[in-house]
Parts: sequence; C-alpha cells; structure tokens
Amino acid sequence: MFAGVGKVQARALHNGHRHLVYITVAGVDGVPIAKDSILYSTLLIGINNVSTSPVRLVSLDSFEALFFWIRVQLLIDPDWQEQKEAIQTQASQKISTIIGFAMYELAPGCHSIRRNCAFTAYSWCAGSGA
Amino acid sequence: MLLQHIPGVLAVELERLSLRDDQPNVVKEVLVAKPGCIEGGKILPAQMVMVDTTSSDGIIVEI
Repeated sequence: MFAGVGKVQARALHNGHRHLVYITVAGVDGVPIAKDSILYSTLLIGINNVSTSPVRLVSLDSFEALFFWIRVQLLIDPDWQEQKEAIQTQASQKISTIIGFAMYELAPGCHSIRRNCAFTAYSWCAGSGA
Repeated sequence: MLLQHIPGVLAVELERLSLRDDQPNVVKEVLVAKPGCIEGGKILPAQMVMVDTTSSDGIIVEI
C-alpha cells in the first residue's frame, strides 16, 4: 500500500473510444486525496512508472463520500438506571468502532451497509451490479 | 454490533439509518455505494458509505 493511501479500487472501463484503468483512492482515515496534493502527484507518477500498457490509459480520482446518519434508542434495564449515561457512552463507542474507517470499502461492485431486521448486527456486503 | 450485549441494555430500536441528505427518521434496509463507472460519458469515482463524523447528528444514542 502506498503511504497515505487507505483504500484503493481499480476498475477496467471503456469510454466508447478507449480502454482505461480507473483507480479510485481514499486517504488514511477516509480523507479525500486532492488532485493538487503532493500525495496525488506522487501516486500518479508511481502508477505511470509501473504501467505496462501504452494503449491503456490510467486515470486516478479521489472517492466520493456518502455520509450516513444513525440514531438508536436504548431500552435500559431499570436496575441499571444509575449507569445509563455510561451505557449510552459505551453504546456510542461501540457503534463508532464497528462502523469505523477500517470497515469501509470503496464499492467493489455494489457495496452497501445493511442492517438486520432488529438491528442486532450490522453487516457490510458486496453484491453484484452497480 | 450487538448493542444488546452491553450490560444493562434490554433492547435497541433503530430510529434512523439513512444518508445525510435523505429524509430524517428513515430506516433504510441498505445504503448502497456505486463503484467507479462511466455514466453519461462522464467518469465517476467509486463511492464509499461513511458515518458522518463531522456532525453531532452522525451517531446518536438515545435513552
């Protein structure tokens, strides 16, 4: 992995005229990689240096973030009411941990975040198609 | 994520799971992101579904 790059997706596309390798990147911790950044320039030079096909263009872009919001309501055991704020904090931290950057993926086909019917679990899943 | 495993939690109700720009109070079954693609002759980068940590509304746990 290139230093500073957290996620990468490469796809073979055809724009009607030419084949190209289209690479989408995300910085560490989900930070976009701006086209005027040193990291972007360095990465592009590195890619072009190892590109073996003179007819296949390589194009590089930063990802598009789709931000989501989540809100849950907890039902606390009456015997635990005195600890409810600690429980609330723990639940929030647990959500943050589970759905943190390490879990994110650049859509590999049709990537999604899915909930189960009772929200007892989150799952990240990749299906087919866009 | 099994929030019910936290001691003291009897049940969890999901009240919102939706993209930031969606209608509030919506629980979507799936939040979908598209891969890098060409649409209408334009190259579009891959999307990534991320929790909105820039907003205090990104993660809300209510009691």
